Amino acid sequence: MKVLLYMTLFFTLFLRADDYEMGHGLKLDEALNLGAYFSTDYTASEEQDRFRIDDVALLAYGALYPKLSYMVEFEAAPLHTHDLRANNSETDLKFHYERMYLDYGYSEMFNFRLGKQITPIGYWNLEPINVLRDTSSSPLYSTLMFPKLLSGLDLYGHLDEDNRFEYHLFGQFNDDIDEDYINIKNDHFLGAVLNYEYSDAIDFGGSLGEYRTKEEDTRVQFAQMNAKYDAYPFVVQTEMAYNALENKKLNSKSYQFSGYAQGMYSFSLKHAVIGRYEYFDDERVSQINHIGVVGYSYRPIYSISLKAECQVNSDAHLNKSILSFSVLF
Amino acid sequence: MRNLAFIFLITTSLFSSEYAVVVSEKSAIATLSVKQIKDIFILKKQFVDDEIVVPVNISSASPMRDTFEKKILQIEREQLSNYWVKQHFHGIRPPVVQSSENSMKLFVKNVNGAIGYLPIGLIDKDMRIVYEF
Repeated sequence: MKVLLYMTLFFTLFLRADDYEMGHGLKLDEALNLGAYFSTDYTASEEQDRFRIDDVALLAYGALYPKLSYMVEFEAAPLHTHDLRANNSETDLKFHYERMYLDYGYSEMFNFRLGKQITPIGYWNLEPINVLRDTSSSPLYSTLMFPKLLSGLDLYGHLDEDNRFEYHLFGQFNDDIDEDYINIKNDHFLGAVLNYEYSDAIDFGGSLGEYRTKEEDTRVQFAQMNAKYDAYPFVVQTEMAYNALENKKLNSKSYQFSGYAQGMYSFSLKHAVIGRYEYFDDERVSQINHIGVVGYSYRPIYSISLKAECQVNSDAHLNKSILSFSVLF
Repeated sequence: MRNLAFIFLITTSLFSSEYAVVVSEKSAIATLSVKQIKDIFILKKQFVDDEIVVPVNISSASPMRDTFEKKILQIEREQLSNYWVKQHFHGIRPPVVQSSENSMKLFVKNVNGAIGYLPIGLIDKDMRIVYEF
């Protein structure tokens, strides 16, 4: 209850600040900018009828020196879940480290990010929060194929004068900074990413890497590709990844393959329709899923998002409808 | 002959540049492409030849800001605002803003790595033009 009270106070302070603009954060100083976001959703499926306050997060960032900056983000997710059929609720007020890193810019070609950070792969993973996404749900590709967060070092930059080639070389040789809060627990994660900006509208890229899962002690080598066309009112993007899995204890080898293609048409800056096709194949459990998503997005202003979607799964038990409301402060 | 001179005058005034992107005379930057300027002002590019750059905007009410956004950034104001919402999540804030052309001029002259834009008539010998628009 105390946490909710503090959060209400925090959001009220935001909205009352003189030079505050919704969705742009609150600048207290060069070294201290504050932000926050939350999302709520309602999911109806054969198995559940659920309301959640999913993400509640606070972030702080700023420049400590001209070339040195930081970012800290704490998040509780899901904060509160209410099962409308069973009529029971669960609340978890524990906040986790979502991000905590230092950024040092040495030159256009060499920059360093040290700490817990978003893994710099593809598009979806870089804008993971509900309010920035075009659909309430995320494709399976984005949650099952590689760790979403990295607790290590990323060396990144641009390889040419026009900033068309961007690279990342990252590594983690330790446990995650907050192991309770990552999609795939791992203690070894390496990757190389190369993206190319062909024009303002078109870019594409890919990555190669490997990680070791802690729970199953499995070595996973992955190859990933992404491409995007973004010219208002159309956005089309696709991402896919192939994982080769090896478990020496069980002497087993298998693979996973997953990808999605998503198209969005905006009637205006406020209204858009979205269609997505997803594919997920996991040889270990002989599971293949085809998922179709049709959605509608309404943003009265960009930092406030109302979305509705229907998901049709090849496993009909998993069909669902989702409504969500999310805000970035 | 007078008519020809009049047409020449109108044509040159229509197609000549009104504003210029400028840096301090002390900067090592000589020229920049439109893409480089755009990347600097959307904070995608932070260095030019290993020199850190500090973009500065004029206040949003200025017609010069409109022209800069249309010709260089090639983006509508609302779309640009949406872009900064996304960047806020990544810990990046928009460039600093100066309220007048004179304060923009002082900022460019006095802050290391500063890059701004001004009406060509206001540019003096302490500044270097890197692109005209």
